This record gives sequence, C-alpha cells and structure tokens, in this order.
Amino acid sequence: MDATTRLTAIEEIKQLKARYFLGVDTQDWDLFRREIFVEDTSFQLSEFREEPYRGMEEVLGMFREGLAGKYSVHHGHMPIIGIASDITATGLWAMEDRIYLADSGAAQGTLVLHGFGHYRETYVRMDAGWRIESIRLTRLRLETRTVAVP
Amino acid sequence: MNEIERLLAIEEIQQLKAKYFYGLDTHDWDLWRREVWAPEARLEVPELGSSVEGRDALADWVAERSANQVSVHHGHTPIIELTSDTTATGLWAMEDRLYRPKDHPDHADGAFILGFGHYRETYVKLDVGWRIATTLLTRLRVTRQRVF
Repeated sequence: MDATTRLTAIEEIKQLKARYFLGVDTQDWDLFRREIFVEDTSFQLSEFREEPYRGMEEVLGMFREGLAGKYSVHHGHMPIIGIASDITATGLWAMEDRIYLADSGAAQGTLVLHGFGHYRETYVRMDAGWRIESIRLTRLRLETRTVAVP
Repeated sequence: MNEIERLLAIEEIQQLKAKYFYGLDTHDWDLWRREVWAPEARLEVPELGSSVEGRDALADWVAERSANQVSVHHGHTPIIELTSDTTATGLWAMEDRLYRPKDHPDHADGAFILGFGHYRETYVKLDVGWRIATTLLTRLRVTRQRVF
C-alpha cells in the first residue's frame, strides 16, 4: 500500500469515528445504521457486561436504552490507526465522556458522570466505505458529581 | 522529502505521541521502551526540577512516580515540523488528571490534580521508526482538589 492510500484510509477512519461521536451525542441511530457499523458489529462494555453486545440491533438497543432521557458529550483524542490491509484496520482512541442524567432525582441539580478511557476497535472496508466492525471500551476513571443546569 | 512523505511522517509522529499517552495512562512501560523513546532520550520537567536522561532511567523514573496513581492525559493541536528526513520538532497542548491516594509521596494538599500545559519535543527517525528524542513539559495552570 503506498503512502497516499494509507494516509487516505487513516483520514477516512478518523472521520468515521467523528461520525460515531456525532451519532451518539445527537442520538441519531439511523446514522449508525447507514454509515457507521457493519451489520454483524460487536460492542464490549466490560464495566457493565463481560459478554459483548452482538449485531446491529443489539448494539443499537444498548445505546437507545443506555442513553434514553440523558444527554451525552463524547470526545475522542490521540488515535493510533493501523492499516492492516486494503480492507482491514485497527484503532485505539483516548476517550472522555460526560453523561448528564436528566431524571437522576438528585436533590440539587443534575448528576453527571465524567469518564475517561480507551476505545480499542477494528474496522473493515465495505463497498460503501470504512465501517466499525468491533469496539471494546474500557475506563481509566469515572467521576460523579452534581452540577447546576439552568 | 515530497509532500506525501511529509504528511506520512507527521501522521506517524502523531501516532507516536498517542503511544506515549497510552503507555503512560495504562502503565505499559514496555511499550514505552519498545516503541516510544529513543535510547538517548531526555525528559525535562522544570516545575519538578527534573531532567532525566536515557530511555531506561526515564521509564523507571516515570514508572516510580506513576505507581499507585491513576492518570488521564490528552494531547491536542500538534504543531509538527520536519527539520530533515530523520528529525522533527513538535509542540502539543496537554491536559492531564492525576488521582493520588493519601499515601502517595506527592499527595500534598489534594488527591486530584488537574493540569494544563505544553510539550515541546524533538523526534528522531531510527531504523525502527520515529521515536521521541527530547521532551520538555511545562504547565500553564494546575488545580488541586481534595476528593478522597
């Protein structure tokens, strides 16, 4: 693979991950289906469940349920993208997220979960472009606090 | 070096710095020794009065200070300049969070330290790829909170 092809693939995968973050935080599950995940994708969220969520419907169900009635903000940093072949790649991203629990019942303000961790991912190139094949999310740290929201 | 080679070198150096952060926050000092630092690397942290030379000494020094501590480091908006086919300079904005238990030697007044600053670095391309040759870390601001 020449340098131009490699650089283009790396940039496309970075933009794929950007769409993933946009999809999560705007809860645009159609975008997930159309442009982000392959049908037989998997998502491992070890802190909640060791067994990965498997397949588009189960993964989308996890997001829908997990974020219902909440606001989330996710940022990705410092990607390490390895292009393994013309159609396969791996990625490692640093992650920071904030999840505001709208109905947390906290006496004052809104409960916010502020987390830090890493995504370890694999990607596959389909006719339509690069898609996420698998995600494993681990956390380094989770802060919990109450904030005032006007 | 043509434009594409320059872009690829910049990407490789950004991923090198990503490995630095990943190794630091997951305490993977073998990754540091294998894939991050040049053998004669130097790390300077003026606020601690520290300057450590040599890959192994540097990895040991950071490992010792990181034991018993959870850290989160993020890098932003790199300025990478190629100075030759095998040398480069970099400047990164940095945000870090350090969580220390009460018995940590640097616990001081607070167990949660939130910092912001810059890395000024030089890189060298060896047979095995780009490695960090020198790093100078300065902070703009540090806040401490008692959370434990």
